[in-house]
Amino acid sequence: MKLPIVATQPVLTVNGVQKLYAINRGCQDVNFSLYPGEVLGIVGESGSGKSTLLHCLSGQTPPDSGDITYHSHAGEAHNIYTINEAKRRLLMRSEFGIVKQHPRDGLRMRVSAGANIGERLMAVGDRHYSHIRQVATDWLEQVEIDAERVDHLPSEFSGGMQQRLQIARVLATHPRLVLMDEPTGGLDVSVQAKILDLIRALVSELNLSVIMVTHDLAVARLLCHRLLVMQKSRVVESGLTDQILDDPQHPYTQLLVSSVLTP
Amino acid sequence: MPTTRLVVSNLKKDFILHTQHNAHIPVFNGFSLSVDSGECAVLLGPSGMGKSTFLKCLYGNYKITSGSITLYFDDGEIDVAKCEPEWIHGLRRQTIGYVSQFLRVIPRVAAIDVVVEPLLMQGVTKEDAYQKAAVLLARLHIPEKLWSLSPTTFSGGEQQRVNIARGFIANYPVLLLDEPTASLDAKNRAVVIELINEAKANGAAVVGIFHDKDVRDTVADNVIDLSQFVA
Repeated sequence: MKLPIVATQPVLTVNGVQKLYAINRGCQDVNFSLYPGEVLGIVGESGSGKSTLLHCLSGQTPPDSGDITYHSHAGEAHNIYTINEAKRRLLMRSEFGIVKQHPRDGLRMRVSAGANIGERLMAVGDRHYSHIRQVATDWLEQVEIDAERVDHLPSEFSGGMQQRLQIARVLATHPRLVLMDEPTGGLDVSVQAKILDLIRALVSELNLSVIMVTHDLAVARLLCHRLLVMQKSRVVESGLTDQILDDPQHPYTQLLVSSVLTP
Repeated sequence: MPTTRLVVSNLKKDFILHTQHNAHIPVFNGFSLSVDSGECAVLLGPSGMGKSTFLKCLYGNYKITSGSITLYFDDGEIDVAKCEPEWIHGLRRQTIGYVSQFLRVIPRVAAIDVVVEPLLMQGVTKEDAYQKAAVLLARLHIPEKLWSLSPTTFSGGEQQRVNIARGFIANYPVLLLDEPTASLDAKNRAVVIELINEAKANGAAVVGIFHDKDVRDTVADNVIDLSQFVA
């Protein structure tokens, strides 16, 4: 019996991150490391600071203090807010992916589905048109959108299809780290199920590292390996998903778990 | 000479239910146990004593209040009670298999996919993994026509057999079994006993809960009465 092999190099290390808009509004004192292939869920009720934290982690909102360091595949460490703007933008385009809650915020509604995916590929240097079109079509199939709709506008798609298109657009550049804000919020349950299954399959196939904000503990149970539970800007409990949901320690976590219908 | 693989030392577990008037439920205290490779330790005690709770602590599913749970490897040791989450993931992937009392069904996942998952996570090829799963499911008398269906509609006994297949497929060196034979008929109980004996012969350290005395008598090398550790 040999020691298990565990990744020693994290993808992201977060130290003492704080971004406050008012007393206990925002996030503070956040510390964690994210490893390759891991899905970290950030759960908590409205106003707990989940989205603020996600914005800091995705490079969109500089924190008041603290460090967020991304470790590339090549082993280089980039402090995402001390590197220059151009470098950060490149990182966000090529190694990060951000799936927004409302697909309309993450898609360009007036260019075709194929172009939405193709744009991302071009932004990281792909110039070969038929290659781009092929990759885009393949991705549409991966997310179960009929490839024939490659030239259709996303405005003609249903909400679920738009969300799947957003996921395809984000993953087309093979990011190592994907950040998702309530990826199935507001969708019908059957549509939600399809998207959750898709995310589950892609995470394991592509060995993605994911940070996902969700208020839905059932989604957290299904997709996340670890959880951070936030309340009023602080992380009150963190650990393995099944441990947090089956043996919650903090009073707030216990309250959350006992409040849902089927956690 | 048998190698000691698992040492539980002075384990204490309490539950504090903050949302229910801060009810303080002590479960066990001062629990110590040692299991060698190839040995099967069986926990005994009436319902509600804390047997399943103990297995869940070993698996990292429940947090312990104090004490240690040390796994001894050829090349090192890990205290489950104190290690970081990524290490627990590693242990669950390569070291500890757990057959829970009830299968937690994930909807829309086919029975055979549930069973292959541990092998796929260990890097086994799809072809080999599915082949092994088919053999194991057949051995546990799950009809082939059910393999591509989600266990959601299976009977309790069928669900438990899927759970058992998943627990035994990856040849884990440490196995935690919580009432694996409770919902099974004699024919399938016999298969589970075979599986346990094969695992022991392969050097697995097994900790189990079996209400069935016959099964217990057949597989147990060491019987521990949990009531001596009740808090």
